[in-house]
Amino acid sequence: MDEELDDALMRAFAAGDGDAFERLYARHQAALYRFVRRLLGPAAAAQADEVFQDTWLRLIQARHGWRPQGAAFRTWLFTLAHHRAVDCLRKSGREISVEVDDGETWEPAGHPWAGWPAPGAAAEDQAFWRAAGQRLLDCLEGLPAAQRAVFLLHHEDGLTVDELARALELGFETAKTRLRYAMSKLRACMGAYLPAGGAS
Amino acid sequence: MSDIARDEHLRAALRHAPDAALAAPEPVSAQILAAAHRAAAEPAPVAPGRRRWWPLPVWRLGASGALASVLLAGVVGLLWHEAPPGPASEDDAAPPPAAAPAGRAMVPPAAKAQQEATAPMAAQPVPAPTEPAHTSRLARTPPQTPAPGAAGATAALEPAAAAVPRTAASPAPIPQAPALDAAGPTQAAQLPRAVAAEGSAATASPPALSRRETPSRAPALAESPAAPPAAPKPPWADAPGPSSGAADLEAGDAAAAWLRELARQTSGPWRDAVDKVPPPEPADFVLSRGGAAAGRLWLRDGQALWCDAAGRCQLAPLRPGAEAALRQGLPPQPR
Repeated sequence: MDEELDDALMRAFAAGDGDAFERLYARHQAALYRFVRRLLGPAAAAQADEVFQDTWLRLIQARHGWRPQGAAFRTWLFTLAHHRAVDCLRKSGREISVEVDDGETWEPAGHPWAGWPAPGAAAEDQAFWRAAGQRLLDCLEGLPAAQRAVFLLHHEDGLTVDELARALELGFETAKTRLRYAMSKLRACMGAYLPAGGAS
Repeated sequence: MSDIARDEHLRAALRHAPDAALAAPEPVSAQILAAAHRAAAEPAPVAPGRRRWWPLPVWRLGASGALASVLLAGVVGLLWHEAPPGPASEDDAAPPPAAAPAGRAMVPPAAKAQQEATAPMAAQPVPAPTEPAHTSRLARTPPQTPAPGAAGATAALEPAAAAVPRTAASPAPIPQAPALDAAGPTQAAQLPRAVAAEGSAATASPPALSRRETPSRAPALAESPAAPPAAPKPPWADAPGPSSGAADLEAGDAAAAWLRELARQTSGPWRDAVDKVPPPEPADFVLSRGGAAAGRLWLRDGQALWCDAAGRCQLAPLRPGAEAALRQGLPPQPR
């Protein structure tokens, strides 16, 4: 339903409806801006505005060539932002190539950490999850950009592995491997920090 | 399995991260929205598949196209009217033979009369089936001057002839292509129709308007198969006498041969020499017809000077070395 609405708004904008773009922008600007900031990390946060703006300007320029078939509008939008952010990282020298695409599936040793508290409305739980969120951002900073991108697109923006592979022009197994690596590293990173909070 | 299960704890941590409420800065959003509204106001481009490959329908060319067509047609018409197009190749521009083939030159009297009657019409581009392509073009080319001796015609043409350069008044009844070119388009524009109009009235010697007609006007010396192809018509060809045929030359075949040689050795057309009078010294050659001197000829300074019985003189340059050879070959004749 949301995808159909996005498609309709984009068609209306391509036909000359500026208000349709405003609605489209209001629906996706916050999530896209967060995605860009998280993908770039704190070290390249200064380029977040530029990447974000350039992503939307590219969308505006490509409005006549956009077709609803294929990827959903949101996937297309986040893919544009991803490519632009990777370019920015490559220019700044912060991109770390991921050389784990050998087809082997990496699995973390042992079981996933089970000390997570249940997400709730309790004040102490809110404080925990806020601290956990900050920790997750720090852990993301330690991931290679490619793994960071697949994790964010998968966990925050809801893309499936197949959609990830198509959006990032990767093989399915490659996308899957990158995602597994990212999740295992983040779990390990979060577990090293959270036991005290989780125990509370 | 096409997907990997999401880690709900990691997702919860993402949702509670300090930047969860982050949004684009207001100035950035304002710039993006402004750019979007500007883009939305632009007209949508035509799809490449639907783009017309022709600029405009023919019926929408409008007055500009019609005016351009009329102007182009006018310019082409003026160019054609003022000067017909030149020869397409050098072969066409080559000078025509001075003497037409005997088959064409020897026109029966009936046909000759018909040619004279149709002479004024020769100025029109009438296609001649038996003529080469360049002949029809030459037929429309104005003649240089009427033939010598056509006093009536010359007098009638005086207004037109006064406007042309002096070279146009030279007696060159058989025009050569270079001479035609030298005459230039001015003469071509001034003379042809006047000459053509006079042609029918001046029965003594209508102007040579076409090559078809020229052989009938040329004397026997020019018509002779032995005459050089490029030799101009000599003045003695129209000297007064009962006839202009070579057989009337009282000096006999030797004199006729010598005159042909002289005609061959002239390197240019015979021109009026109004400032010349018959020299007092004896002539090198005297042409007698009917027992009277029809003309006298002097060879001097590389030129041949011809003066007829009336005292009108014409001059023609000789080829280098031709004067001595001609002197040596002078036939014996009564002085």
